[in-house]
Amino acid sequence: MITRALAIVAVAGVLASAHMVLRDTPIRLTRQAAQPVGPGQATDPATTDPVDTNPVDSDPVDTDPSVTDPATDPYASYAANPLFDEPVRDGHITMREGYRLFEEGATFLDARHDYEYEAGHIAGAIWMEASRLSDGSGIPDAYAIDASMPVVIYCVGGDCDSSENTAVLLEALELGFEIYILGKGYDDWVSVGLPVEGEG
Amino acid sequence: MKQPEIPTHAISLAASVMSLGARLLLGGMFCFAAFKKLGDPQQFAFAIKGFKIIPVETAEPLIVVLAFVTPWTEMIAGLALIVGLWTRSAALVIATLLLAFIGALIHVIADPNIQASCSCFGDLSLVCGEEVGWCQVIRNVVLLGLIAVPLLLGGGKFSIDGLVTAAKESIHGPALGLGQGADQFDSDD
Repeated sequence: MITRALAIVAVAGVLASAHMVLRDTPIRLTRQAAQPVGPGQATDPATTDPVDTNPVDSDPVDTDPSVTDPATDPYASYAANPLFDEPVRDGHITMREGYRLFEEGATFLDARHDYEYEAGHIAGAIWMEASRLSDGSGIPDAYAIDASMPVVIYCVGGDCDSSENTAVLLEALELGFEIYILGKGYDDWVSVGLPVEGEG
Repeated sequence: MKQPEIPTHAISLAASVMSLGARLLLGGMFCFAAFKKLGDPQQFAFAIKGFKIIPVETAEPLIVVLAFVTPWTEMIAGLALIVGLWTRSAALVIATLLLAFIGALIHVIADPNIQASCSCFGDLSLVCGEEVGWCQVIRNVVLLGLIAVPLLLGGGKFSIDGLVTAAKESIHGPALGLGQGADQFDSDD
């Protein structure tokens, strides 16, 4: 019985190998391009000027939330919520950086499930779950995105991989996007009181 | 008072019908799951990555291989189960897959930092929602109970195994043993 069970797995292995070889597009799991990092997250310790590490953020005032002066901070009302400046993991941007990109006209992509997007999303965001890119249905929408503006991808936040997965497949299209991933999730965006739209 | 004896052939028939039901249900379910996953291996690879059992930084090729081998194994074992060829072996493969899935689901549930989608049936949610939870574990335990039927009883009369065994019996005489000969073909090894 065990010999035949192993034979079944072996046949599956042969078919899987043929499938892998014949498949047009390779499977991608990690981002190939150098990832833009948020201010204060420069990977090169020698880099002292945050402008060099992030083309989006050229204002050193915003590089360190601890030195932000509430009197001059244009986002002081949002900054009252600690989530707004809460540090995020490497390669991701904080809510403050995300909101500034939002104000500058960046394209926001919602990498969550369709029902989550329909229940409510960041104002103007396009639904771009990774599956829409892997099955091809979202590729026309991806081509319609203005590549001259930054693209910010978000999901539920925390350790969700959805944003990362959408970024991987978006980069594979080689459309020249400057992609940022919002470290905090949609619920955090809502709780800070930033603009949203949708049924919810 | 003496209990009326149940004829042996009636037990064999009941076992065959039970096995057929379990085979069709589980085989069909696994073939469908495999079909959905094979339609978009990229998504299934993302799902495996999302479970955070295999580190993507060091073992990305392993995730890619599993994204193809797992659904093809489901497909072959599911088809074998449906037609009743090497029934017990196919049931053993599916039981092993179910145990592995249960382990992976519990790993995700136990770690609150992991937010993973099941992708058990591709982009469809069968019985349970998309996000990993105890519902999927219970569903797989139920399926594990069902797979025990063909695993223990074999394919029965309504299977290729059964037909082969019947043909052998007609040539060499009836087989001996608990399986009434129906699963003899799958027990040769």
